[in-house]
Amino acid sequence: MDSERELLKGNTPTLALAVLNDGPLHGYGIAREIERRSDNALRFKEGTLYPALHALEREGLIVGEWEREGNGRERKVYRITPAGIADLESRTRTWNTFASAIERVLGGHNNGTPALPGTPPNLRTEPTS
Amino acid sequence: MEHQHSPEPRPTFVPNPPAEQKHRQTAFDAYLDRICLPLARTLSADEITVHRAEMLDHLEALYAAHLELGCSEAEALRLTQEQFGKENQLHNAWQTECEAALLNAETPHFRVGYRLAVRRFCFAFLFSSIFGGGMMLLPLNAAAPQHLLISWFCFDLTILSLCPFLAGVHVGRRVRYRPVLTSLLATLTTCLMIPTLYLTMLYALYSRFPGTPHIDWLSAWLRLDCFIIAVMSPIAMTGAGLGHWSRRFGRRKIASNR
Repeated sequence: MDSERELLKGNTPTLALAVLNDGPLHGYGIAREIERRSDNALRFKEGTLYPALHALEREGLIVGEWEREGNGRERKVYRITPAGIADLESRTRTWNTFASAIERVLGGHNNGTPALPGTPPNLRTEPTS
Repeated sequence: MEHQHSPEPRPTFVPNPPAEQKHRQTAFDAYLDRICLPLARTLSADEITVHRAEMLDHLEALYAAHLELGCSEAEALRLTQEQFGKENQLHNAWQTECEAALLNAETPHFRVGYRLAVRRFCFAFLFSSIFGGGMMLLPLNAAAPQHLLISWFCFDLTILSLCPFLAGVHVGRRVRYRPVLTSLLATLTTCLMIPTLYLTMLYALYSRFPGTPHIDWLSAWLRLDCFIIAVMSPIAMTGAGLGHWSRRFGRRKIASNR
């Protein structure tokens, strides 16, 4: 659970950018959208979102503006910038490369690669011809 | 003549908030006070108010959502703070962000970089002093074989030089404005303190053994200071230069990927 949280912490900016790529949202909305899209699998400490948003805003990847909602309440709404879209593409590429590499390692016993000596019998598979 | 009375402003009646609401406001205020503490170093009062209002809005929304789910008010308050994050965790997250903001600011903050470098070099020299002092115990053992003493000494020297080098790399990566000069100044600052600590420790260790030669503190202190300035500073500066270069190279690579 802790390792999951650590992994998530490093990727909070990427998740926020991905959510904002589909439209402007406020902090609370971003947190809810991440939760909704992941079917409640990605639950993080929502307060950590604000330093991440501040960093993204500082780097010019998003812009925040105060907007008045229908009920008269003011909320800071964030929008992704063209630089943010480019950065998201780069982050997505990096993540895909990383994820596929991990997947290859984890699935190594099952993709026809001969098993290393000492591999338990239940993980051994015969190489495909 | 008719005397015209100017309409007196009617006193507006503002009801006191219920006790639970007051309690909630106090709890959220205290919670946000602790989280927003690092912001004061970087942001103006107006900017802090904006971030605070934004986080308070999020907390209120979470609280309302928990109430809707059927929690009691006290339970909703607890769950809201739990979901938002621990105070020290958020405090640290903001502190890291504020430090990064200062180090990457358009107007470079030399003092911020210098403070960071002094902290890192203090830690590096402190570790190497303690480690080096501890290692000196082995040569005092006459029964230790010669080859072990030599490899021990080499290991000691490696650690002693590796610590400032790594601290330098870290400073080079974090400090944007004149990292090499910052490293030099930070080394000069910390090396005044560390040899004193190192010699005190050595004296404390040696004095336990009979026949310890008399140590001339001033000359030993000066010699060690000269050694650190002459050897450790260039190592630290090389590390800072390398760190700075690797950061710039990394940024260029990211830019070209875009």
